[in-house]
Amino acid sequence: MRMSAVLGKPDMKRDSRNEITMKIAVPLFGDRVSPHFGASSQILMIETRDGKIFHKARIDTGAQDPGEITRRLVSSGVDQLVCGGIHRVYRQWLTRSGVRVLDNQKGPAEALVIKMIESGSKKRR
Amino acid sequence: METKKGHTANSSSAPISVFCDITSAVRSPCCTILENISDGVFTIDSEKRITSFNRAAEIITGFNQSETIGQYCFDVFRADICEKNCALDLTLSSQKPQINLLARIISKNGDPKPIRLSTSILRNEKSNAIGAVETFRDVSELEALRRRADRRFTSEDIVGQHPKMNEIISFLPDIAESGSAVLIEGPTGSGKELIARAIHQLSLRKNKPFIAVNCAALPDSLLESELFGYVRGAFTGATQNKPGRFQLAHKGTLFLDEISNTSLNFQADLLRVLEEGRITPLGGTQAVGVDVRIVAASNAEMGRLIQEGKIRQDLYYRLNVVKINLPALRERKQDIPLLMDHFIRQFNLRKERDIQGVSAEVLAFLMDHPFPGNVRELENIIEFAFIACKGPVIDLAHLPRELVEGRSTVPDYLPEDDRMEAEKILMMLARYPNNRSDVARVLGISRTTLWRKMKKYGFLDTGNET
Repeated sequence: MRMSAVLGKPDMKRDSRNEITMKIAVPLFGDRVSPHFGASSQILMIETRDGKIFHKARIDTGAQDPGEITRRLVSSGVDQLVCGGIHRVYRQWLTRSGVRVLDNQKGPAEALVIKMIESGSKKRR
Repeated sequence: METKKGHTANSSSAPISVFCDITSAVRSPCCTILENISDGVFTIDSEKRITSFNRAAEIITGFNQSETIGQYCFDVFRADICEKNCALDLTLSSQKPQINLLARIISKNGDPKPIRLSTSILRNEKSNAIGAVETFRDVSELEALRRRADRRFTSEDIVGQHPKMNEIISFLPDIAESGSAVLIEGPTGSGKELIARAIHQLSLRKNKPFIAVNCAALPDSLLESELFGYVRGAFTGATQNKPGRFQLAHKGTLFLDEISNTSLNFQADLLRVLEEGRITPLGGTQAVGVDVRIVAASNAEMGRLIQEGKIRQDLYYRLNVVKINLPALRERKQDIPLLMDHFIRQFNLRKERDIQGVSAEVLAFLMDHPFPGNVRELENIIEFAFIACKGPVIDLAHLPRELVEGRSTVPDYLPEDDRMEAEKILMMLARYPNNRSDVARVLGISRTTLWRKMKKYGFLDTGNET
């Protein structure tokens, strides 16, 4: 899936100031994208407003179970998951719950998200 | 692989060390061997970047060699142990091999695969460590067999690519998540229990019990004592308290198979338990609270049974929060080759055989077969063929004779478990028409038990009951 197909869509969430907001989750392997969804102990949460990062945090998954992590992502209102390998059952689960999944990614997590946001902003202009 | 002992062409004395650089672009005989073995093999340098990746590794992971060379091994291998218990890290730091570890990888297209892996240090001709090598093999089939033996099926055990099956599989996590009662409708042998177990495994209750009850296998009075339990003295022979299946399934899932075969009286009792969330064991006075998720299954259409007065409407609405309709195998014929391959792989492992597949005639025949017994019938046919077939390919001659000749005499009224057993016996009787000792031996039962079962299923002629 290309990032341009992900960001800037008309169904994006908007906040009270009518700005597009987005919550992106990246399971971590150190500072990199975790290669195996469900095996990472930390997730990078990045929130954007109108294509700019306004909040980021590392949170402990507190679980080693991909089903439990999926539940938490869905319940915490994540819009997009950026990950390495993900079992297709969990990918379908997330997709059906309204979370866009960008899988088979690798490399430094934050840099990857920033690149994706910039790419999405350019597309919207 | 680290350092290979060999002889130079003109050597006549002691062997000398010959370093085989499997990371070299120049192919050596060693590389040819690596390309032709069924185990995946890859090597990494000291920074954990992949330096070689054999063909089996490509097949197992789904990544082409060109996508992997120079990449970090964890970005390609994607095992659940990469982060906290990396075998290659242990080998690189300790310079000691790691042997036969179990891990789960995720292939490029999202298939989870259990693997067994071993790692070892990789040295150059001066015995200096230059990286590490990992060998691994896909043990998916073995794991599937283990799950089958433990009856702990997951969604990975559901074989099928028909759109109806894909829709069901993709909907399972949502169903599991809902915690609601589920009603599964599907013909005999279509895999209702498999779906029920997969829902349980995906749910929050997965670490709690999954209890299955075949309602058709027990008469009403016994079914009530089985489900609700009894207290000491409740009836003759009740010498101690016995918890019912509801209690055993507390916090877990209770699978009520063939719910449509129960009496209206029992349905009324069941409905009361479902509504109150409490059971009273037979002979008891104290109600016990139970937290159980109900998954019920029926091989008959419940809506029709309500019209016929065989199912209480209120129970139906209680169970029918989420409904799954499993298609008959004849409605998803494109899955027949997949299922055949699946069963052949499983029986090869279980029976230590090496059957490669079926002939074109068998495939054509089975694609035309109506499969009244659905997936279970196909499994039985393949199991039978494994007995009859001594070569690498299953041919028409290896299929049950009554199947090829278009005869099937298993009575329709039999419950599912009995049908499965009756079909097996019938197949073996067709295979060994004049030798019941052989039939009994193949089935692993005594001649007397065989005779009793043949009588039960109506396979005995009146003049042939000795």
